[in-house]
Amino acid sequence: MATKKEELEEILSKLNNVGGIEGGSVVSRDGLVMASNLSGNVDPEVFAAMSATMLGAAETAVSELAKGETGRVIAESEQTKLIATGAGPLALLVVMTSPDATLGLALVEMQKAANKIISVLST
Amino acid sequence: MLLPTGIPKLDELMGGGIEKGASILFSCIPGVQGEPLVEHLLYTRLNVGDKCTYLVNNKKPSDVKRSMKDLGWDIESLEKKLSFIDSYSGFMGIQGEEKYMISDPSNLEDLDSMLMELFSKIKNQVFIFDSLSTLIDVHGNPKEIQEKLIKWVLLCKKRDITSVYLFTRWPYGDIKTIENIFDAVINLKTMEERVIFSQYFELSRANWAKPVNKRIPFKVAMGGVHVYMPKILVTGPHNAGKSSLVEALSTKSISVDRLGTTIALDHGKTCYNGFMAELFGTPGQERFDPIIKLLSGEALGVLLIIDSTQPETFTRAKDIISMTKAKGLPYVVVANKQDLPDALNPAQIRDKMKLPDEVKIIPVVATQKKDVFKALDALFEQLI
Ligand SMILES: Nc1nc2c(ncn2[C@@H]2O[C@H](COP(=O)(O)OP(=O)(O)OP(=O)(O)O)[C@@H](O)[C@H]2O)c(=O)[nH]1
Ligand SMILES: [Mg+2]
Repeated sequence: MATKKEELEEILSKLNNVGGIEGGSVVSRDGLVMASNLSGNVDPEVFAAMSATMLGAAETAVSELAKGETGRVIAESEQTKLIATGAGPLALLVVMTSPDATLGLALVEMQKAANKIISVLST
Repeated sequence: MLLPTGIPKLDELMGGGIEKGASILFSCIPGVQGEPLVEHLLYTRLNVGDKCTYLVNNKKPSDVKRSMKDLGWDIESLEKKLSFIDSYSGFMGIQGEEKYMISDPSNLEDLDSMLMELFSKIKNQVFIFDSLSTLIDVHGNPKEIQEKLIKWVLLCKKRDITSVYLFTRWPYGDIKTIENIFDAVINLKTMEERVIFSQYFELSRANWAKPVNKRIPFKVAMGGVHVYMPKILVTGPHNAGKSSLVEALSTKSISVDRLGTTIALDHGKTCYNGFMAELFGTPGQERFDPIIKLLSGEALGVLLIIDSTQPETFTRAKDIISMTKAKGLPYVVVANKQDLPDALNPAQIRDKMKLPDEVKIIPVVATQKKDVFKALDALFEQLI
């Protein structure tokens, strides 16, 4: 039987290369790595801590405005787009895309992956 | 005589190390690698001058050397003391380079006569068998292997050869019978507690040591096997020195500071005395309280840092501790800025904060890295 970690890794690897996604992590809401397939010399622990704080801070800021729930946070640089979205109460999903990625497809695929993550973690 | 493995917590579990001449089984659940523990042990023994013989049947001897090099160990200078029995290359049809070769690892009689001859020649060595489960897989009859094992283990004991066997617990049926052959069994397992996936070792039993019921989470990195704490929270009032402490403790750290104050978090990795930990420093100012709460989940322990010259901030310190979900977790009070003339001493702080005697207060100077590791030691002591 696959461990939860293996199931999460499987979800991440299926996500790779669709909609320009170049790697990602499943991170606990409090900033620990649950599964990761980031390429290159990214430090997964630091990446996880920063992503969870980024999404958590954004969610808090939006809820202060009482304007509904945060769907996602997108940070853009010249070389990449970083997208973080919640995956249930325990986890979040963060991916990196190529700079010219069309967001639409990436977001749809992320949402599907997030739903799978929720069901893996709720078993 | 006890032979330390060089993995401090493992040695502690066994009362100091492996008894000379004893047989020990590293019993791993599938998915957890036992090799790094054995390699750590091998390196330690070679380094103190022991001769070692390493039987390998699931990879090339050069792979073992490479993975030891990857852990940062200069294996070349120790190679004179190390012999391999290559039971892999012949099987795979590749050219092997070792003195001892076994061409057909599924032939148990050949293996048996070679080992019995070897064990009657050598003395006072460390023998490693990597791995018993591969032998069972290629040979197919655990019962026959058990009979041989009993002989090997006995002869080794007579000859003061300490024998170490690696084993992956595939569903072989009667694993208990296999385990009972050995003087000691170390289990390697994983925990999946809510969201953290970690691996740990525990002593199942050692004939020469008192049983200890402790799980030691570990991680393999440069320098071998480390006790691993995925999250230690560093928190405290604004300006107490949280960011300075994370930096002082870490081999590598990052702070998200703007205009001199932490707005998101500090993150650092510390590697110290056989321990590895990820440190999460929080902001201190009240407007960032949601982030303190966010970051405190899943922490294993807390370093609560205070500015010893600012007793008016001590209430805030206590508020932070009760605000974090960390409440109830082991914590140590770090009394920072002891270099300043008006710093209160630990006794005065205990009195002012009304801390019970069992809470440790460690005076430090974070900016000079003075005594910061004492604080970490005090916390680790409570955690393991
Ligand atoms: N004299 C002295 N100054 C210190 C010491 N530790 C930290 N400081 C100073 O105290 C100030 C605050 O230190 P930080 O490490 O940024 O404190 P912090 O708790 O992270 O602060 P916030 O993130 O803003 O809450 C800085 O000016 C440090 O140089 C110490 O041991 N002695
Ligand atoms: Mg700070």
